Amino acid sequence: MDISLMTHGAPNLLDSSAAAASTPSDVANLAHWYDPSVLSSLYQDSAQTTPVASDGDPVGSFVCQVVSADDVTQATSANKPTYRAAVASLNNKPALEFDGTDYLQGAFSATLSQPNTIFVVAIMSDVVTNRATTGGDDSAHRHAIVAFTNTNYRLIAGANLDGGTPDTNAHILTAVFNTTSSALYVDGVSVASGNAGTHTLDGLTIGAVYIPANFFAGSIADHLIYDADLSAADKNIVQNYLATKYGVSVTEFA
Amino acid sequence: MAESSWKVRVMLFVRAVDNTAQNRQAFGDIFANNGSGETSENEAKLFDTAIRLSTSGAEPVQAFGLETALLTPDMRDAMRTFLDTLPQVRYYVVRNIPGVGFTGELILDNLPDATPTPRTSLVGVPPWDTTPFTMLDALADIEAERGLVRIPDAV
Repeated sequence: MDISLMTHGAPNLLDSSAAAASTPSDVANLAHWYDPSVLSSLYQDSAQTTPVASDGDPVGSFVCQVVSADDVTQATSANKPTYRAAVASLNNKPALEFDGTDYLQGAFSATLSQPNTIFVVAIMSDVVTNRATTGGDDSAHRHAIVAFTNTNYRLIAGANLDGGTPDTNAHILTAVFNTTSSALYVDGVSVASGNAGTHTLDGLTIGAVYIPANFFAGSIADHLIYDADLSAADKNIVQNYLATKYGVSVTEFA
Repeated sequence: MAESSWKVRVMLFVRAVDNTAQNRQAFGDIFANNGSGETSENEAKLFDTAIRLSTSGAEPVQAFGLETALLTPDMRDAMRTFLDTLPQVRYYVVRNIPGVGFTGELILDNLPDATPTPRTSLVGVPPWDTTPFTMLDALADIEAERGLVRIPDAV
């Protein structure tokens, strides 16, 4: 062995410090991240005085991992989702369970203009009525993702963009809100492309549209918003992270 | 992880005419006065997001379907007293099963015995029947018993 190869800048084959796996935080323009695996981000009450501690606890406040002031809350007990410590269909990871009358809502500190990319990990318990995972906080700032029973998904940001076939399986939904170049992907597969409208986003509803209505029934896990139309490479970083975390099979973005 | 102290939830159907300020206040008080951490005024807002029902499937609303949060033991007696004041109410009590989900397990309902699906007043005895019971099941019951169907939400 020529030991000179191990000095003076030559590659050190014994170096085990491989690049860390990428996480959503490594992707630029991350504006909001609501992660139920971060137990400290969940409170039973909207005033954030009582932390969520156990499976079955109600969730009255969900703190954003990026902008702590941009929490989404619920001050009516009957409308609070329930914390589930291990959801079998989501790789036994924590998630918030919505019973068809629950939602969380809050305003943002800053308004996001399009384009935006939203990732939501969710599984519906039924498709007997319309179910929204996401919405804005008023009629002029929508960014809604709605499953119209098992007929089609719809993106709404001032216009309607339909596509795909909702079902009761776990999915990673990727929604790009970019006016006439908007798109919806289910587990990396394109199901809709076209015009979803021009709304900006100044708040968020998780588990319903802004009204509130079209309440979600099932479990919602990670919810991320990027203030950009992410490249395919960046979408893959986020999607692959979520796919590994929740055990969802995906197709990589090209 | 410790089991939550929130044990049961109630699914109930009330007449639209019973959506009064007094009843909303009483309902809100059950939670606010027993440690929910929220105000009675906020708790009363659950009627604003209730499932709307009618025999036609369109407005006007004839009944509301509500699903409460999980109740702590302190809330149960107050809830039972309140339910007894509501004319023609139909309710189901569902037990939280850790890790199973909000479907839970039906342990009590007030269906009369002489209905299309007769039940005793206490459904199942320990060990509990673990068949999941959801609001969809309750909605199917209320449609069978009283012909009430959901009015679709605006989108």
